[in-house]
Amino acid sequence: MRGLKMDKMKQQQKPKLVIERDYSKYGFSVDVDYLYKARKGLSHEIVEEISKIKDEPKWMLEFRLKALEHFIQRPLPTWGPDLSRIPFDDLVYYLKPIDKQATSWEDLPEAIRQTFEKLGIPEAERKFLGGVGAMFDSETVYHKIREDLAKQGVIFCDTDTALKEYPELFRKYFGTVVPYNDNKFAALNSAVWSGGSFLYIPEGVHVNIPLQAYFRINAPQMGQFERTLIIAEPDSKVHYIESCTAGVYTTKSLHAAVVEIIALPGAHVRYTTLQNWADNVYNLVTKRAHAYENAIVEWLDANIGSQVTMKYPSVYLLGQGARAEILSVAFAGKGQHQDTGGKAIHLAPNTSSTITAKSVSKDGGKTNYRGLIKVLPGAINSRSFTKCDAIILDEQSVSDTIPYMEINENQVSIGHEATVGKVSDEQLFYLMSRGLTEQQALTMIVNGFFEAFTKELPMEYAVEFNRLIQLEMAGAVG
Amino acid sequence: MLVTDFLQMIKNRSEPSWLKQRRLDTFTKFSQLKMPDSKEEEWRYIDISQVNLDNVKIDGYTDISIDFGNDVIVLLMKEALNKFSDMINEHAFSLFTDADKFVSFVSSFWNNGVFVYVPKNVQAELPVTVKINNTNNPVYSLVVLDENSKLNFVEENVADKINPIVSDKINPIVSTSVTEIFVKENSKLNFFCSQILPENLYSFYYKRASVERGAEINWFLGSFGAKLSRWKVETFLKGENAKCQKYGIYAGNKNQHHDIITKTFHLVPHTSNNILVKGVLTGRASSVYRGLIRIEKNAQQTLSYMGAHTLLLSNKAKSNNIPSLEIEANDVRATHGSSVGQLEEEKLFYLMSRGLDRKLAENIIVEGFLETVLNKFTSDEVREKFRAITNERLLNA
Repeated sequence: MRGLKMDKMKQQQKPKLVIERDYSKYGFSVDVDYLYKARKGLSHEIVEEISKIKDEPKWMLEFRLKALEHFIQRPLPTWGPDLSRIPFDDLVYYLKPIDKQATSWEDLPEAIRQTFEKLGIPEAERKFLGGVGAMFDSETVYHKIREDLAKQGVIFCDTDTALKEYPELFRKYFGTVVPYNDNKFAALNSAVWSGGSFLYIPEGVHVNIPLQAYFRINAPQMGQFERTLIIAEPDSKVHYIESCTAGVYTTKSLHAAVVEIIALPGAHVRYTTLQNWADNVYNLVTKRAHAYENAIVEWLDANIGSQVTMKYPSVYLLGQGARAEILSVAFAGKGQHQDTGGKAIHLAPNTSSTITAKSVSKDGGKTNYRGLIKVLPGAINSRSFTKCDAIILDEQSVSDTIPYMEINENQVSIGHEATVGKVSDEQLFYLMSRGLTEQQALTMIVNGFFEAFTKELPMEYAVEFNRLIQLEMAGAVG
Repeated sequence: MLVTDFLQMIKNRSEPSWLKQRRLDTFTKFSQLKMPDSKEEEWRYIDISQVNLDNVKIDGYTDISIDFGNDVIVLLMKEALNKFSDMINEHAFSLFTDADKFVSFVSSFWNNGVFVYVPKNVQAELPVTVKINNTNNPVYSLVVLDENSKLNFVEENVADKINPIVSDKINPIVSTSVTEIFVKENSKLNFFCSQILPENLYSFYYKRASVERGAEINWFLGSFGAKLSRWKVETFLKGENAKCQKYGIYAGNKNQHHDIITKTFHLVPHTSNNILVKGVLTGRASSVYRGLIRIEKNAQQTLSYMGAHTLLLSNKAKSNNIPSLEIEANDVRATHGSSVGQLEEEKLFYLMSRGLDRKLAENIIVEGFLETVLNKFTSDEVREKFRAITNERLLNA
């Protein structure tokens, strides 16, 4: 009797997972008969072909070609990680898997449907999402939003569809936050962009359940260039989540996305990224938001996987009282370089920003924090605080911290703190003296280190994040 | 300067032949190097468009006065070249194998400076005090502390011969210097340096120190004058248990620009470093503090801290802080803290509510802000001097 009770207790204590998923098997790929596959390399013809296939208005083709020109002329950045091994000439820049986007998972070709089943997307959609977009290589293959949200006027579709169906809204904001000539990879994205999410929240509407987009690279030597545009009208609220994974190959792939957010007065936008790229992906992403009066923009950015990631989500605080929260976490394992951080540009009075960065490097991995706090003249009473912590787990691994502070106004309060070091022996000893193995203790400490991030995530994603960290930590004790 | 002029110049000097040859080598390098570009990271926030080292006119010797006790050897460089030629040959510019335009300018043209040698086991009682009267002439100084010795060194940069009112916009006065410091095993050097130059000068001062096992260097820096002032202070901790501390203050007014770079390189295990730099700016003054702590792969068990704080007294003042860490070892603790802010109204109110007028209340807060740096100074005299200069510069501005 007593034994039975104990069993029951044990069962209750076992954490109940919302979604059962094998987090160690993201690296698979499936065979797909692509409808269109651009020949490798980049040229005017390919850009024109992409625009033609998409049947785009003339202004968009012109925009693409202008961007291509800039991309060709702009040198690679001279700072940061080594990008000289990106095989620009061997990449496929456009790969179209299906002809017509589905609004039901059953309508998708078997291989693609199975891919997303394995990744747990349809199940997640049923359980706790207000809408889902799923991108497979170059195109969004599935998109759906809950009816009640659609009725309130929320638009959530892929970016190509938005260009056709909401041309005025689209043109008003597209490319205004990240211009085509912002940097080399924003130029590349502007030239060959395809897919991504378009999200419009009408004035005063609060979307209380997250909307999600899933980006999947399936083919080898592939460039994925989605483009996301979020427009939050005054006093609206939304939480958008993106996840990214890819099939594992020995050849290199490139992911160069552009994300633009316009948070109009009083709007509140939270953008969460849970990236777990395969180790052969170069991930070079430009993410930027404009925040108007009293708007709040939050970037929650988790960077796991990839060969090289360069990503500094930024917020331009354009209106009085606007606020930016950037929480960036990174994990660099063997051969990986995570060059991440955040930027806040204070252009109006009474604005505030907080940047929290946490990184762990292991097995020769390299993490860099790179950030900028800029206060322009007149942005009085700006407040900003940056905190960066890095843990280096072994002798092979490395971490740099490079914070820029450009302060051109005196009525401000700007602070920055950083620490770099190892896991404290005391903490390890404490946990191990209570019966944990060194591996378990280390994993627990690292999970705790990231807690500031995980506690901000919806439960399902917090579980996923902790599992991913656990996987990355496997073999941490040599 | 043309090669022929250069050859004439070195021919006229009574210098050892190794030095003439070396000057010729570095002059070739100097002539090939371009002035730094604002695209280069270290020159990003500094406007040196008025400075062209290729046109700087050099003549005569820099006037330097020295004062010291009789237990150490201190000579003007031009004299030291006769007596200590070998030691100078061995050390000169050996820490600057990566010389840029400014350093190669100094190594080609330097004509005076200070040579300091503290023999083994000598704990110098009196400080060595050096007053350099700057002009366009570059200055090279060499400080060698032999094993188990100790020295307090005070360097003050002025430019009494320059008319502070006349400013030549085309060819402004450019004051340059390179100082190399060797702190050998178990020695300790307190190095105080300041510049109180007139505000029509540009100054570029490079200082590098090599610190060996069990040795210690403490820097105390004060940047006050000049139109544009660049300090680059670098420390190489080469032996176990080597220590470095850097304390610096700057006070800028009008259109001044103060630009301070400090770098500490932890090359071996068990070394420590502590940096605290604070500045106060008023008027349209601007500043850049660029700090780097680099911990090499095998430099385990290292402790390193860097603090950089700026107080802005006017809304036209600007400050850029870039405190970077490059950490290649894991069993270390490296931290930094940085802030930029204004005088806090709350503190002002507190003082004023006790009967102080606003001006005095502001003075007290500024003094308090800098005090955490100044109270680390091991010389009362230098501390008092820095305090007085800061007050004069900021409060009467």
